[in-house]
Amino acid sequence: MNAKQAFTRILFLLILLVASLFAKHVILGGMYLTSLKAAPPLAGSIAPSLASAGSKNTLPQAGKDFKILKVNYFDNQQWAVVLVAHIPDMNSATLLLQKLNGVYAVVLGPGTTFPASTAQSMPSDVAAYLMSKGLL
Amino acid sequence: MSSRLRGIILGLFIICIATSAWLVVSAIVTSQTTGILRVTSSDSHASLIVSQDNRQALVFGAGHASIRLKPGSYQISASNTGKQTSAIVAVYKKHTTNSYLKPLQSVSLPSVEGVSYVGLDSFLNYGMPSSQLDNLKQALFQFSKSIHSVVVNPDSISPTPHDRNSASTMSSINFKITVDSISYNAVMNYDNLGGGFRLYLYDPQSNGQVFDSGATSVPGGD
Repeated sequence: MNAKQAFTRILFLLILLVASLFAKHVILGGMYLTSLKAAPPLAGSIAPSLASAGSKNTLPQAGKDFKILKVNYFDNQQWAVVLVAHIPDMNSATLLLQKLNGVYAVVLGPGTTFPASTAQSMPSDVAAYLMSKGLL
Repeated sequence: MSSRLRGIILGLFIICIATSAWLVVSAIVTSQTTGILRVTSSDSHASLIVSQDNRQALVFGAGHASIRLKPGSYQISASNTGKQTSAIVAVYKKHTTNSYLKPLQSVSLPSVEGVSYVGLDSFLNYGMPSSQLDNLKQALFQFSKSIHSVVVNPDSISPTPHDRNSASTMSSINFKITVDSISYNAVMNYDNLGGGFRLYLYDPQSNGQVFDSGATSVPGGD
């Protein structure tokens, strides 16, 4: 095998690799598989509420940007009070989530205290819990 | 050319062939075992977010975007300037799931105004003051802060005959009501001058009382 033949074969291999990548792109329609990383419960529902105003394309990640310290469920898991901490300073905040159409949505927070008037809009056991924690 | 160089080229050849085959085969397997989720929002600037139980949330586009996912149930959201709309969608393999997220609305604590009421205006036809209609809505919200819809069957409204010899301004109405698809028999006692109000709800099967709003004393009226 001379140098020209070796070069030809290497070139063929490169073309084969490029063609394979192109074939993959065509087979998948340009959309590669997206896998969501594991996270604690409710992390996916909470993250959008913790995102800063300027970050439209990225969301905070549980375990990296924030940590879920505690979750309390109420009324057959229709309501949830979640205590989160910001990483790395560990400043904490509370969020109140309500299950709407099967999806948990943040209806209050994140915050460290909430107006007492909001107690009227939540179940009494949720309000009592928040009061006991000094959040209302 | 030395045998060593020949061996290196042969090795590269095998690696490239194997890599190429793996790229194509894995792409075929992925296309056969995953599905596409296509989401459109009425707000072209809304960030489209996908998440799943015990999974991180991910922004995959704005306004209109597609994503390839493993089969399963996912939560999608469209979020923009504090407003958010969410939905649960199912992704199937070899299938494209289309989803449209309705106009965004602010997600906030439930309120009396946020509940859908149907048929309540019928009480006005029986002379009930409109202020008592507000008390009825408040009482229902007190019954459950999580309610979304209330439906009163106008044909079920049955006022208790008022004693003409009595000086009392209180009236009572029996009716059937559906709260979030659950039916109840209801009795409503109210002051025609817009004063006191009280609502009772009963289980239609057992006639057991499930709710008592308690007596309220509201000044004023119509």
